[in-house]
Amino acid sequence: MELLVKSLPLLAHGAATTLYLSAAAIVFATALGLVLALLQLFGGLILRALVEVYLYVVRGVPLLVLLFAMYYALPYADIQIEPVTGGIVVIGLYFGAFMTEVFRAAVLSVPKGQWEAARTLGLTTPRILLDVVFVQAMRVAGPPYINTCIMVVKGTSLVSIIGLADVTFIGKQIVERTLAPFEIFGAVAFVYFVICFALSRLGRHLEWRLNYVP
Amino acid sequence: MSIDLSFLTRVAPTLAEGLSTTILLAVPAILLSATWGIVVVMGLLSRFRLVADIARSYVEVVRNTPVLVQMFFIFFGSGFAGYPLSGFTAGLLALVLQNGAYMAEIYRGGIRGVSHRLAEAGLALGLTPRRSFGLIVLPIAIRNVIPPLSNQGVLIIKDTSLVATISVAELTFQARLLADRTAAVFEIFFTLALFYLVLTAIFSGCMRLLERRLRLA
Amino acid sequence: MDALLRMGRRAASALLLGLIGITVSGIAAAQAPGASSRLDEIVKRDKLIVATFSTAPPFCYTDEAGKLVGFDIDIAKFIAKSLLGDEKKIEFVTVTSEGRWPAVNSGRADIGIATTTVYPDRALRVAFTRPYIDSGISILVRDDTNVTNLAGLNNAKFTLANLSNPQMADRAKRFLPNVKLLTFDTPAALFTAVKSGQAQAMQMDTPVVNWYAANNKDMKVLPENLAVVQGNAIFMKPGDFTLWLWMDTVVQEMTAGSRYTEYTEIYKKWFGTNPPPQRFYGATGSAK
Repeated sequence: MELLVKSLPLLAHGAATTLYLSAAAIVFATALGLVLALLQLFGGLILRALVEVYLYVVRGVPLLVLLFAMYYALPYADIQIEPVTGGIVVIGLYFGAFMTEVFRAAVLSVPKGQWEAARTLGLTTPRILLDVVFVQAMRVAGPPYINTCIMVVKGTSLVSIIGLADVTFIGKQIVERTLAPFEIFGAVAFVYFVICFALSRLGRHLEWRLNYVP
Repeated sequence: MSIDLSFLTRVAPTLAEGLSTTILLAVPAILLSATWGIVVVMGLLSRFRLVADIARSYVEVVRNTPVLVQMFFIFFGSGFAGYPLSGFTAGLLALVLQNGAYMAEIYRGGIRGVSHRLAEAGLALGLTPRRSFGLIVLPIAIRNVIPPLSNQGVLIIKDTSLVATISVAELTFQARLLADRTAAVFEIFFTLALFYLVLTAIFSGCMRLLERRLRLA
Repeated sequence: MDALLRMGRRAASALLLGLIGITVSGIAAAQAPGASSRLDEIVKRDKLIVATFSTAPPFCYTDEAGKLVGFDIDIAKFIAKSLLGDEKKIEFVTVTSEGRWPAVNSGRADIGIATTTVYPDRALRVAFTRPYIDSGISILVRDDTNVTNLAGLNNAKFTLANLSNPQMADRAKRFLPNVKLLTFDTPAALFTAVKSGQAQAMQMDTPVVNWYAANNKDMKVLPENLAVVQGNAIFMKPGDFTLWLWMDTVVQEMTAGSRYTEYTEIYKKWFGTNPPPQRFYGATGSAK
């Protein structure tokens, strides 16, 4: 138990890295998801096909393989990228595909009638999206979006395999030094649990706020 | 960087060996998760408060922690607890524990998704609640959950790549060793990605066939 | 007419000056060495960036406070001091076993000091200096296996923990064809597997194995070495002769020249004994 206390500063350091990676990846994935969803819904044939291909590839290849490709293969193409940045980009690209599906389904779930009504009122597509569709789509997108964010946080644990010092890596290091897997990995799991649970609470709160009818 | 095809044929046997381990891990993982998910969802929907609470806590803990950490915990922990498990077993256990919880949630959603009016219609016809559930709700629920289950199956196939870290010689593990041995990193990872794409495509295809057959039944 | 002539003269002199300027700078550039070396970059940056492991005691590992320590770390700091005057002018980049090659080849690190043994096939991808420490490959076994030699270990009921590099895999196949294998990507993970009982033996550099055996009473070293005359060396991106020459010179001076005293101090700190004697004549470093 006192081992745990002694390891707290190290684990805290790792937790900070995990938080940073998660936040950055979520921001990137959300932005990417929005852009791709819009392209999928309103883009031309070629754009839509490209997005489809991207989604298919990213959904069929494990995140670990993508991280390895970034870490081991890119340097051979003379592309130098900091592992932390590379990790954020790869995780963002990977979950961005999931986000695209979430946003697309959410926009499609808004009844056609809303679109027609808005158009008869003379609103243009961008205006419709922002003023009419967005709020209604958000209600549908909320839970799966938060779920995907939780998956991002859990996905950042994979960067430990390419040597980035997130909380999983630090935990493994400590276990290898102290040979106390239960306490340390338990603590690591607890860190993730706290972050993800907080996210899901936030999600439920947002859901309540969006669905609140006075 | 040029793609050397003859090189691919040379590494194919090693990769194929890894592929067989991946399949050997993925298939039991999917089947056992699906089965364990049934047990868990029965716990979740149980009438007994204690059972439902335990099931709920289990699902929450497992869903909010990464499967990688669970694998490390089980693998390294098992040794120190006196019953060392092989990487394969520890990985399989972690995959089943994690995905069983997700499957349970899918089942729960599927059952909830069936309109309760159908169950009531069953009762109106004179069926007991249990038979109404089994004969009317369940078949529809099963049909409904095939798409999300297929999704989860794809995720399981992809998560098998994680057991490379606990020394299981599956596909990603073999590819990594090969990449260390040779300098043809691009070709190897490209082939690796291709293998997974094919694997997941075959699996999704099979699930879609299954869905179609159930619809016609 | 006058104005035109004046303008013309001004233009001509400007042109002439320009031409002279270009020629002079061209000559100056031609005098400078062809490609600039990474060594110049390091000096200009005033910091040495070293790729290393963080889980390979006693060479490079993290202690309880999370600080990177070890024999390799001290050697790296010494090199920084020799080059830049201050052992603090150093930055460590921790990598995994396969990540050490891209780390130096992509330019993220200047050099790598990561308990790396010299092998010809590795020399195809990176440039090695001469070794800074002798190595070899030994086997660490648990006492409770009651195994006393290599032949005794060569049994299907035992599991050997290996690092994920081809040399280890080849040696395992050659010397212990019957054992089961467990492969990890960090030395510390090997030891954890042996300690937890998932493996009964591990294969690792001789100094590392000796260190683990010295610190763990329930483990011992098998008498046979799988490799005896090996060396760990500094590695860097190939093609940069200036950098390589300087690094190699430093290693030469450390292990058998003007810096032998400092090297002996570091060696004794981590291994408790003197490094191998360098000359049959003269002192062998600090007294025992």
